[in-house]
Amino acid sequence: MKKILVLFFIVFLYSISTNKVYAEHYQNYEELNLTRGKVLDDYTDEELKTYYKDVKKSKFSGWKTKFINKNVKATFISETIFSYYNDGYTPIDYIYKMEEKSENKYSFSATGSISVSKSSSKAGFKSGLDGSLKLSYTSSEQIERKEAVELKVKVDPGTQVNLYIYGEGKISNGVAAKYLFWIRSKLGGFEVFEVTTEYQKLEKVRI
Amino acid sequence: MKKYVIYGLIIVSLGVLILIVNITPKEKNYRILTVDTQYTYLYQKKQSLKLFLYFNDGKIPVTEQEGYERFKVHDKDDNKSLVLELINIDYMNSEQYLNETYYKYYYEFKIPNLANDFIVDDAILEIVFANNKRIELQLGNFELIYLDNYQELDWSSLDSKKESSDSFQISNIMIEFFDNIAKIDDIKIGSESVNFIMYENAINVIIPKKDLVITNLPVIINTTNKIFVVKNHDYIIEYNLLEKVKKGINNYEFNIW
Repeated sequence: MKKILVLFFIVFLYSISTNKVYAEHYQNYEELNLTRGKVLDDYTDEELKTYYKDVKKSKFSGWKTKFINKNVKATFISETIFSYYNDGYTPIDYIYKMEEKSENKYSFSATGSISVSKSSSKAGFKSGLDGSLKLSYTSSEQIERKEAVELKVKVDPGTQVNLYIYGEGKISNGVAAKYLFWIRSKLGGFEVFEVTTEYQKLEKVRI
Repeated sequence: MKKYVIYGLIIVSLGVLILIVNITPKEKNYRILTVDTQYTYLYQKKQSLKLFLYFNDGKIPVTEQEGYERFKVHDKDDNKSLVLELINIDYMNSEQYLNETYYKYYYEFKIPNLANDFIVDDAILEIVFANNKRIELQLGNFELIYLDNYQELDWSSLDSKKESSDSFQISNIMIEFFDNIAKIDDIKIGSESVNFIMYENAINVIIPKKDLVITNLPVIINTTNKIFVVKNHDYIIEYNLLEKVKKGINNYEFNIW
């Protein structure tokens, strides 16, 4: 009996102690503006606590989820995607090819004891949270193929070409808790960012 | 007693039947989608052209080039046609449409070196597979433009705009340039003359609204003594096109086996 209590105590401690934020690339954007609401990182612990109340009522097994924002439109300005300087004497046809192993349009982040899946072929959250969220990415049968975006540009001598990406997307975030035999094993926040449109802006600078 | 045996047998038989129905693999209905698009390309030696197809199964299409016998673009009556040489097939992204996941691929072709422009409205792509099965798909408008004497505009910035986030075509192309252009007679995107606003070392090209996806265009700037061009560029990448396009999605059953 004592051992079981110790075990429960360890599980409980684990569920409240892990507070790592798993950052994804949308969090590195130079600018990210939502039409309403805010990103998970901007919610204070106090604010999150009020949402946790909705997922803290224990259940036999599985996830309890509460969306704070669902499919909220957002605009973003990404960091410079590439810069290429031609220091030679003849123009160069530069080909930029970006290949991603999994779905590039979705990115994920989590707080608390919820974890982002780092698998190269299946993007999402660990421990079956994806299925409970029922967002568009969860119904995608993800395939192990590379996504490709290709750009060809002529770079003159003494010229630097820069590619910037900005665009539009949708953000969904909230809190979730996982239960097994009425015991909470995971508690934290989740966030999914979906890129819907990317604008590719090219700029040439003479150096 | 006999009655219970019969009931028992019925229940067992029903159970077996349900099992058989569930175990037997359901034959998947393979589908291809195309979205009516403005495919306009300016011929240049190193320029290729890309056509986009959606499949409802991630394991098809045949991504090996050997799986295909021929690609041909033609008009409705097949009076105008052009055989295309395939260079590459690559996966782009997945999208949701009618509760199904569709996988978008681009098919990249060499642009044939022709003497004249090749322009087909409501173009059809005919694909003949290696096993001689064929399918015809609607593409939208297809234009290959050939110019004799032109100069690439020495641009300093290329950017674009859409009317709204729900739109699936660019509404403006903004070009800033280093070149000295005194007077512009006309600007064309492919074969079509369009309106524009001229600033000092910048032009705002206004793209006419159409029921077509427009993301990649060449810009042809006619001045009194020179033709300047801005070659094809993917101004925008749409990841949720099927959600945005209300009409202009062409849905085909696809069975090449």
